[in-house]
Amino acid sequence: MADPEKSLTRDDPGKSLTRDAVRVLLVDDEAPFIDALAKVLRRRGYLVETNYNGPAALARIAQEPVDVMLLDVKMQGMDGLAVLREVKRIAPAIAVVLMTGHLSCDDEAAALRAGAFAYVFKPHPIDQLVELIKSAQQRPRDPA
Amino acid sequence: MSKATPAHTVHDRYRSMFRHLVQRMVLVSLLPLVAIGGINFYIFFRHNRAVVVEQHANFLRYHRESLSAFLNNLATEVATLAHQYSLAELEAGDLERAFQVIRQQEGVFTDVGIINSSGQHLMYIGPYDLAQRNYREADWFKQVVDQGLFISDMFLGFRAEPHFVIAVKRVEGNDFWILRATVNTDYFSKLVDAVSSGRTGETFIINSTGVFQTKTRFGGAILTPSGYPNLAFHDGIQVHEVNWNGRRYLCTATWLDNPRWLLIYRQEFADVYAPLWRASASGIALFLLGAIVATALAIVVARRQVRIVHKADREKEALTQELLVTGRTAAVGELSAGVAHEINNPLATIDTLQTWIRDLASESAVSAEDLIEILDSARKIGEQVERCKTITLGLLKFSRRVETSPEEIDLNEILEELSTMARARARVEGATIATELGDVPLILASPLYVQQIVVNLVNNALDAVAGRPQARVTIRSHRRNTAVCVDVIDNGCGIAPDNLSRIFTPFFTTKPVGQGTGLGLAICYGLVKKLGGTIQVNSTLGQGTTFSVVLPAVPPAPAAEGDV
Repeated sequence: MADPEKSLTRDDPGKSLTRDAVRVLLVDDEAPFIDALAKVLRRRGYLVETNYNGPAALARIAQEPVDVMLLDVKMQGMDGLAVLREVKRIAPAIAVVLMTGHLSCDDEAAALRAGAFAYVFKPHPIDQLVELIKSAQQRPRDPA
Repeated sequence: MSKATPAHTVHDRYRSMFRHLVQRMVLVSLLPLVAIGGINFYIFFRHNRAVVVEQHANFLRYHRESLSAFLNNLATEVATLAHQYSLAELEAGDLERAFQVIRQQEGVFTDVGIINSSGQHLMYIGPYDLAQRNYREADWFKQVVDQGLFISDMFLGFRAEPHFVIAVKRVEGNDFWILRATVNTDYFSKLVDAVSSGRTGETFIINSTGVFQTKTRFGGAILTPSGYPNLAFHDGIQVHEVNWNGRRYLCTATWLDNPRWLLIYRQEFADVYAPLWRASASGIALFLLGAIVATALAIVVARRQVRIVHKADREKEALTQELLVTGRTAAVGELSAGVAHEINNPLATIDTLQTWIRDLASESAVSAEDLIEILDSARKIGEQVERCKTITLGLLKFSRRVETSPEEIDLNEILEELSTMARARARVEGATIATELGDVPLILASPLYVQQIVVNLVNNALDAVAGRPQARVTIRSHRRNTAVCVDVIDNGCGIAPDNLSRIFTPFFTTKPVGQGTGLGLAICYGLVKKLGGTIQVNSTLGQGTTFSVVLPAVPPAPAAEGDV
């Protein structure tokens, strides 16, 4: 149902139509949240995929990298910080935005140190989240 | 509803503490007093008895000498009279003159008479009508004929009154006659009992068969049997304790030579020891005074001591209460760390869904497909709201437990509420909470205390499993005989054996500074004790820990007492 062309045009009219759509990977064990978020983002022109746990997400990016990753911190099994470190190891180019419903500043500092692009608290306004994805995708890349 | 009346129990506890303190202090202070007093009295008693016996013996020794001398003198006097005059001279009037002199001087003799060798009274001077009497058959007559000089025992004789005689045989030519004098019985009795001591002290004489020879003031007429048991002859002085008519006497006795009479000094025991008792009375009074003072002091000290203990207990109680509040705040805070997470997640979903609905609705024409999406999203929003409600309701129920007084509670209900909260935290920690709630009887306890005990244990369990694979905490309830048992089981890091003995000690913690107060388990321990239960821990390092709390169930109530 996602129409990249259409989305791109609507979301970012100034951008070249020839450019590839931004690939976003949503990782959270809170399925209703990322399912809904995926719909919203796809309608705005992003190529969105979802994973409900860390290991599955890592397996996914090992096959093919994405541009931006929205990653939940507190997850059953492997938590977001561990996934982040692994992502930074195998695909450092991916911009990772960490999200949490938990209020912990310790985690925020640790995440930023580990190379996270941003750390946001749920619920984070969706429009701001979209802005964040945009700036993450446009950020100066580390030499990969 | 609560049947327990802690105020009374507490009051009784202090009363019994007070009673024990007083008893012990009085005992400790009086025991040496009693011991010393008793020993002193015993020594004093022994000494006193020896002194009394010595006094009596000295008196009796002296008295025997004087009585022997007296009887000797009388005998000499009669003998002198008999040998100084011839029968003819005496009959001519010398006897009467001599007797007058003797009687006036001494008043010792009642009468005097001369009896011829055939026992016939030849001459009699005295108040009785005895002039014609013949004494041939009298015992004393036979004795004097035989011995020359004879002092008789008391006897009745022809005059039918108790008396004793001194008789002397005088041989004149081929014949003999006898001069006989009767000793004044009253005079002699008075002489014997001249000196006495105390109220009941008296001196008397009995003959060799135990018959009274003198009057006694306290029972025993002349010529009646005395009942004195120790009649065997002995030299010197003997001391005996003798019962007479149910009274106990101290008897000092010594034999006279002639006649063979037993001179006895007797005094009632009570009388003998009267001075001792009088002396002891002041001692006993002093002791009683001491006892009263000691008791009064003990009461004052014990009351103060109990008051101090009471105050300390109250302070401790207040401190415990404060600690409970602090501990509860900390424990609830720790547990509800998961609450924010559990609310924020559905909120994020709701926010996203409402954005999705707005996106769809903002199209110029809403397709049927979009409408279905909108309705589906609205339903999902409802689900997320429901989820939030569960959490907030759980939090509400959980924090509504504030009752500290005991009531009949269903343990499982508390465990259910608690596990809802615990699950929220567990999800954050990446752990699971399992509940295995068995069929358990009601317990009589403060819901707040029970909640606090389990919350502390569950928090500790979640701390122990944090960051471990397959982290799992099981809350289990089951019946154990007449008690209820709650197990909090984790598969966490376990407790080092060295630490096991210290975990219930206040301020003992293995957590980093600033993260653990070291009060959780100490509070648990205190609360479990308060509820009359026990707490046990079983731990294997690296494998997990099980805490078991056993609380007494409500005893089966009598049928009459229904639910209130």
